[in-house]
Amino acid sequence: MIIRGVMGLAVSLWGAYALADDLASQGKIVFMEDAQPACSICHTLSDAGATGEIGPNLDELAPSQEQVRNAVKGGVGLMPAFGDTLTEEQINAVAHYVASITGGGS
Amino acid sequence: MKARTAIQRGPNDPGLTNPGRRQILMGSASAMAAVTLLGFAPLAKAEEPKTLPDYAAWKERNALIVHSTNTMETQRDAIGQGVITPSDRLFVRNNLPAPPESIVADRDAWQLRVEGVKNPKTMTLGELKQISIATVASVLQCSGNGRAFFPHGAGGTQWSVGAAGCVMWTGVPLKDVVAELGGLADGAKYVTSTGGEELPAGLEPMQVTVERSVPTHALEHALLAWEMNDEPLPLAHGGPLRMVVPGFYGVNNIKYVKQVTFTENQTDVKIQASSYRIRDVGEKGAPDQPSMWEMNVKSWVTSPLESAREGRTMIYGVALGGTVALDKVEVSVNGGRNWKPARFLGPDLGPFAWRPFVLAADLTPGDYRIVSRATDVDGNTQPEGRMDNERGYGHNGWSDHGVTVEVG
Repeated sequence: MIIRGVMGLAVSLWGAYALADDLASQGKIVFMEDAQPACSICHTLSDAGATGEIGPNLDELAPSQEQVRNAVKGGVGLMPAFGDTLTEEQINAVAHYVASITGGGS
Repeated sequence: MKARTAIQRGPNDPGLTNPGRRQILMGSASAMAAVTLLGFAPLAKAEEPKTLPDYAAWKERNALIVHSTNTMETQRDAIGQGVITPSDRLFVRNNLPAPPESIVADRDAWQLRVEGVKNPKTMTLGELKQISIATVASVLQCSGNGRAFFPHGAGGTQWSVGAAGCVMWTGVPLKDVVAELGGLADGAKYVTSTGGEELPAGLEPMQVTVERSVPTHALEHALLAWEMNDEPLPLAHGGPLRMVVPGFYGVNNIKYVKQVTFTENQTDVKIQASSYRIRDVGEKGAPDQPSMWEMNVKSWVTSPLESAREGRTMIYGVALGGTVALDKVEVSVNGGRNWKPARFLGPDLGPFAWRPFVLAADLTPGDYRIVSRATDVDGNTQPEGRMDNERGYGHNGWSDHGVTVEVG
């Protein structure tokens, strides 16, 4: 009984972890490839090997998910709006990825 | 790189009544922590970068909040009682990475192309200096100054009050250059200035070119400036040559200006067409929305900010009319219930400069909400609230710009 309960908990935790990790992986692909122009052209983000110097250094900025979502959707200053070229899912993924990898939180 | 020393102040140091802030500067806490203490949301959760970027390494580190490599804000209490903001405390906002130092190695060789005049011509800075010269005191302020006060989380640098300063610009009046080149071509309605930044590879020039159009009535006061505060214009502020449009928001003051064109229409690059446009929260930017051109009437208190001693306290601040002179500034120590007229401090340097102000207040122990409200000579007064807009532009509401001070 107890063992099964622990196993169940472990499985569900693993499931949640895997789900979050998938989202981050997907977000990394959006960051490096899907977005056009790619985020890495303008931004520095060490996890993605990005060294762009046009926009803010994301390692230093550590934006929240909401900040990334807003910036990607609507653009900021010279940053283009990606609201029409990326899906909601892609935007959520890249927001999750950038915020979690830099410690920006939700 | 400058060492992290305390800000130098004069003997009549308003900062002395502000021990909390001073301790933060002396300690290891980042300036971001100071922002949090002031009560508005910091943009970054990480600590701000410790050092200034190379192109701005000559700046006074402790007078600035470094938001990013291209965005640095003047600390609220680093604005003193003088009219002119020292260059090393002035905020920086670059839309693209600053060009290399090599462009200011031989300043007089910098070339400017002028189109949309009867006789289009490429001129060197050395030649421009032979046409005529003028100096104007003018407030430089980012359109998003005050963005941090918007509750909807407007995207962009979370400027509080420090994306503004008042400096002296020296250069040739643009109208004199136009006269030299035979006058405006027919149909010119806008002055379109183009920055000389190198465009990053992989991006559409239309998306990233720093080019702004302002109505030709700006020609009356516009200046092609090569000096700021009596020194060669620093690279960080647009040297060797910058388009200065007094009374207009910072973005219109094109740095490293390489071309000026008098055009029938506004440029359709992104920074003009859809960026820097006022619209409702949630709306996209579009050319039919108001562009961030002329600045509005505004003021804020610079000292005290957190605490003051019991008794006589000098309340300092700065106020600007934008494009016209100020009529008055009033200060309230109880959140706007009662107002007293403040006194302007120092000389009037013209309608585009700001006016430092002071009010002597006798305060007993307690908490005070200190706010200021400026009125220009046309009767425009700062509103109490903010005008919510998607990008958090043009905030001049007096309530958000107030400070809560503990007197004890």
